[in-house]
Parts: sequence; C-alpha cells; structure tokens
Amino acid sequence: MTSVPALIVIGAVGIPAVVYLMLGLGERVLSRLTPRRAHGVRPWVWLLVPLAVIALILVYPLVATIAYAFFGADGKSWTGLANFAWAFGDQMTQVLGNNVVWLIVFPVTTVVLALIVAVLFDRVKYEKFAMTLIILPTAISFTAGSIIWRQIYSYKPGGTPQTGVLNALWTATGAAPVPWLQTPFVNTLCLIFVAVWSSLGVAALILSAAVKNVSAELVEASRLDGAGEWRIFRSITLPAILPAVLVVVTTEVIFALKVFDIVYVMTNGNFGTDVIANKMYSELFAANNLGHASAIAVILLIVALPIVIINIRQFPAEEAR
Amino acid sequence: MQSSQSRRRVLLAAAAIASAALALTACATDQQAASQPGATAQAVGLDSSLYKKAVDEAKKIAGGKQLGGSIEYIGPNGGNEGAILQAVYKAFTDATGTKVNYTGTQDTNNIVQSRSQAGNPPAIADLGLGVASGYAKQGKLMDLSKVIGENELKANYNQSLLDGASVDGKVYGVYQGFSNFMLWYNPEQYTGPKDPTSWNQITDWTNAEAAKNTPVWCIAEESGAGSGFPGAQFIEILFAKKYGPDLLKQWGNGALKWTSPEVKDAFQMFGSIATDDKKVSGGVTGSLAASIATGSNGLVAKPATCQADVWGSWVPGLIGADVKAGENLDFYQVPASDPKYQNTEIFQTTVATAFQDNDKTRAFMKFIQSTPAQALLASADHWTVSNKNVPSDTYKSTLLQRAAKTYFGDDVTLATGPNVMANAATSAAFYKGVISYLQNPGSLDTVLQTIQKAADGS
Repeated sequence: MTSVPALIVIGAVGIPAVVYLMLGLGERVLSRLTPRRAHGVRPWVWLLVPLAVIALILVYPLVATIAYAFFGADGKSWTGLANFAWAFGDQMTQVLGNNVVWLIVFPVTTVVLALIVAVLFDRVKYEKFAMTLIILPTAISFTAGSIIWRQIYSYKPGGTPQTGVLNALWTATGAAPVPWLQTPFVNTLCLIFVAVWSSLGVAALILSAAVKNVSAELVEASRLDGAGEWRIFRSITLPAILPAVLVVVTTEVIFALKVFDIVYVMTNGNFGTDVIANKMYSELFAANNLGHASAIAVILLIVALPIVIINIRQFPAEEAR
Repeated sequence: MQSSQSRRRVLLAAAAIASAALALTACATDQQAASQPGATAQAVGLDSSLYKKAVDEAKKIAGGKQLGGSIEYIGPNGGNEGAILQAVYKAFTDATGTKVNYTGTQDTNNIVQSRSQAGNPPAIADLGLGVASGYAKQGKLMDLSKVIGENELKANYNQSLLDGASVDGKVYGVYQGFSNFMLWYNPEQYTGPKDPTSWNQITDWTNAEAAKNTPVWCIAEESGAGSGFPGAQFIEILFAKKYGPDLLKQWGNGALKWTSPEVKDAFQMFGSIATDDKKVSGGVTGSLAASIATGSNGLVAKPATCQADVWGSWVPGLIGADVKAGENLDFYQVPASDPKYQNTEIFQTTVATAFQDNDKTRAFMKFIQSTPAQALLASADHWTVSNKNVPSDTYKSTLLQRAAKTYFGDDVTLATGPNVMANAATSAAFYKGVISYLQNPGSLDTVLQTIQKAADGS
C-alpha cells in the first residue's frame, strides 16, 4: 500500500465516504426514535466516529504507555517504579538540567523578542514587510532549519578557512573561531536560538494582534497625562495583552518540554545537549528499552498537563477580548 | 478598493495553483521520485565491462525474467558512497526491471528498529553483525543459506566471515564493501618511523613532534547521529593489537566487561593521543567538530595539516581526486603493542539482510554477493570488497590493491569486536562514550560504566 495516488483517493474520498455512510446509518436509526429521544442521542451518534478515532489514536496509546512505564525493556517483566527511579537518576541529571534551561531561556527569549517586534513594528509604515521577514522562518521545518543552522555554526580550527557563516564573521573581527556546538552550555543556547528563530514569527503575530487591540484612546490619554512610552507599555499595554502573553508563554513552554528535532539533527544529544525527548527516542529506538522510554513519556505528560490546561483556559479569555 | 480585491483574487489564485502543484508532486512515480541523475556507473567511475558482466549475472539469477516492481533498501552510506552503491544496483535494475530505492542514513539502526516494531521493515537493510544477529534470532531475516546456497556462499566468502553472519548455522547476511584499518600517512611529509614494528614507536614519535608544537594526527569524529565511531574503531584496533583476537571477541560478545582493565587501557592508549591538543591537528575540539567526510584531507593538503590518520580503507575514496597513490598517500598496518598480534586485524562492514522474502529480494541478495557484482563495486575504487574471488587488480588504486593483498592474506587473522558485534544500544553508547571521553578525559570510568549499563540493558 505504498501507491500515493491510492492513498490520496483513500484519504480524500474513501474516508469521507465511510463517515457519510455511518452518519447516514445513524440518522436512519435516529429516525425510528421519538423526537425527544433522538434529540438527546443525536450528538453522540455524530460524535461516534471522532470519539472512536480519539480512543484509537490517543486514549489507547496513552493507557498502553502508562502501563509500559511499569514494565521492563521488553514490556513484559514488572519492574514497578524502577523506570521512574532511573528517569531521575545519574544518567538523566544532565538531560533534565538541559530541559530546565530550555524551559526558562526559550519562552523568555521568545516572548521578549516577540513583544519588542509587536510593539515596535506597530509604529512603522513598513510593518507588513518587517513582519513578513520575521514570519518567514516559520515556513521552514525545524529539521530543515536545524540543518541550515548546523552549517552556520560549523567550526574549523583557527588559521584555516571557516566554512560556517558565524565563525567566518566572528574571525573577521580578529577573534578565534568558536566551536559553537561543541562547547558545553554555549551549544544549548545555540540550539535554543534556532528554536527562537523558528518560533518568533508565530509568537510575534499573536502578540501583534493583541497590541492592536489595546485601546488607542487610553494610550492617547496617558500620553496627554505625561506618561512616557515605557510607562505606557508597562502600565497599559502589557496588562492589556497579558492573556496573549500567557498563551505564547505556555505554548513555548510545551514546545521546550518536547523539543526533539533541533537537538537530534544538530548534535544528537552529544556534547552535553541531550534533552528528555531525544533521550526517549534513543531509549526506544536505539536501546530498545520500552520501559525507560514509556517512563519518560509519562513524566513529560504529567509536567505538560497543567501547562496545557492553562493554555486551553486562556484561549476563550483571549477570544473574548 | 477594486484594485485590492483583484490583487487578492490574483494572490488566492496563485496560492491555489501552488498548492495544486505541490499536491501533484506527491503523484510522482517511484521511478521519478527515486531517480538520481548523478548515480550512474560513469559518474562514479565503475568499469563499463564489469557493469555488463554484472547485468548478465543479474539476468542469469532472475532466469531472464523481468521481475519489475521495486525494493526498498536502507543502509548507512550516503553522499558519494551511496551514489556508488546505487550505481552498482542499477545493473540489477537494468537486468530485471526491479527498481532499487536505496536510502543512505546514519540512523539506519533506529529506522529499521522503529519500522520493524511497526511491522513495516524495509525490504533490505545494511546492519552491523550484532544488530543483525538480534533480528535473525527473532526469525525476522531471510535464511540466505537456503536462498543463495551454502556452496555458493562458501565459494564467495571466507569461513570466518560466514561464521560471523550466521545464527544456528544459518547465514542471515551478506557482506559487500569491507574495510580494514591502517595507519595512513603522506610520504612527502611524514617524519615518523617507516615500517614500525611496535606501537610504542608511534607514540614516541607523536610525543617528540608534540614537544616541537607539531600536532601530527588527523582525527575527525563528527558524523551526525553516529559521531564518535571513528574513535571507537581506533580504540578497537589498539585493543586488538595488544590483547589479541580472542579477548577482542569476548569484548564484542559481552563476556569482557567495558569496565575491565583491558578495555580501559585501550581507551587510554587512544586518549594519550586524541585528548591532547598538541598531538591532534586542530586540537581536540577541532577533532570533535571535524566531519568524517573531510577529516582526512589534511594528510594531502598543501601544506599538510597532519601526518598520520588511523582509519579505514575508504580514506583514499573520501579524500578523492587529490590522492596520488604512493606519492602523497600510503599506509602500513597498525603496529602492534604485542608482536604476536601484528597480523590481528579488525574490520568494519555491515551485512545486507533481507526482511522481506519474495522473488525480487531473493534475486537481489543473490546478485549483491555474486562475484560480478562485487567486482563491479570494487571497480569504484572506494572500498575493498568481501568476495574473495575478486582479484586485487580489479581495483584501479594501487593502495586498494595492496590493502586487498595485505588484509586478505593467509597469515592475517580477522578479528571481530564490539564495532561489528555489539547491539544498537551498546554501539550508540560506545560512540557517545568516545565523544564524552574526548571532551572530558577524567570521566573515563563514568563513560565505561555508562556503556556497560547500556550493554546490560539497564
């Protein structure tokens, strides 16, 4: 079943046809019920297909993963909490530490830069052009972006021609080339920068829309009262756009928790850059350790859940504004 | 207002056309999508008369039938190496009409693992011996003893190689390209000992040159997901030359612990060179950042940036057109620390294994292990090949001719260690361990314990 035209036909025609038939069948069944009963049952009939899909692709894997987290590498021998003990043990200390760095630096940097872009670009005539430039990296996949930046960060020893753009510019100032991806901690910041570069566009768009919704009369009035631009930003703009900021922060925190492709492509976790999602991948597919990988997945779920709930709660508040 | 509306319509129409064009690219045939204009026999330097012989062999294997369809093949060789393999496999396509879609990636083990778990393995995969034997024990690989025949396999390969690729007496993989490890040097620049008889002579020379602030070693470890594997091979050859093939095999099959004094000693022998900025061209950091594809180029650069490089027989192929065999590039066997192991050699290769059993994969496996196919591969002048019937003068390069004669001689013992025998988890931990060790030599004990934990599956 690798024929692409066949897959397109199945996806574009087959699946809608099956859904249509199922709903038609459901309506025929409902037509045999009393109107009142049918009214109560109809939503569940229409939800049957999506609920079945969610159960299959979300609930079942979730339950299975939680179960496997208590078993050994083969998924058969009971190990209790041993996998979770391993997940917080020596081997994982640096990995967890790296994720903490991502959790702090990435959202903060993205939000600060997005705020600057949103507030300043709102005041210039060429806002659309400038915003387009900011959004362009969003069109590039994280993997492709990682390959691009891996070349940009490339290092050659001093005295030899630099093939990486960054070191070429750096050495042009007379400084020695820097092994960006091989220097501990610097390399994690370099990887975070790639994520910021990719994510800034969407964050800036969200905050820009929020900034435009700030009451112009209020801003004008405060200017007339003698407030400076920084005071206006701090006291009027920022409180007004706080729900949007929270949406951006929570979205980026979730990203920081599950970042994988940037790390995998650029360093594969070498040189002290490993993160929890990359570790999960290597435990499952390199080490073939189902227990370890599942434990990491469960921990990620538990940590991400509150943030997801906050994120979801912010959307209605933001829409209401 | 009207002009902005019409501009919007134009933009929407352009977006719709672009989307449709993108969707249509998904309808490209396998042939169109997989076509590689550069991967022709001529482009990679294959011998045209040997190409015809390989096509004839494939026709004979397929019984003159057009098998059609396609085979998906995943292996570790990308770039130019991948192009060479694709050009060789094209002979099979020309003979049988079966397209061979070869993908080269350093993530072969992970991809095969995930797809095997999903019940969708590739048709053919190049795997390390240790990794492949795991699949063979699960019954996931085609039994090549039946498909190819024991007589033909014995006629084409040394028994030690067949034993290495067998489980319960059944052969599960066939070898193609094959590399031993040697010390490469540039005769025009080399100031080290000629024909050394002991590794100590090499280290003494290295120390003497370092005292003059002349780093003499080219070391390159960067290889994406596989970073660290050249260092792992260097460590293994040093181990083999000091502790011999039997202990090396024990290390490879897990009987000798990673935390043993012998393994630690091999790491330290490697580290005495590789962790010293004065001995490695570009320093330790340079070696970590240097790509394996270009890391040996310093041997033949003008001026040369290094004088010695312990690595595989693929080095001349990687350096490329700048090589003048015997003039600016030559090799000798890595000298032994214990003279009785002078002719103990390690090798690096993968075995082609078949996860799917059908007429196409059977014919293809018979083809790639055949003498005409491997002679064709040899003519690319990139690797020595495993088929013992390929004469050494098939190689254009005098270096590969000498390598074939040297390392396939009767007095040479081909030894297997963790680089070919370890499972995927241990190999990954080994390579990462090399990187960690180079970054922090003081962490060797922790590195070895981590690798041992990976080997234990904990």
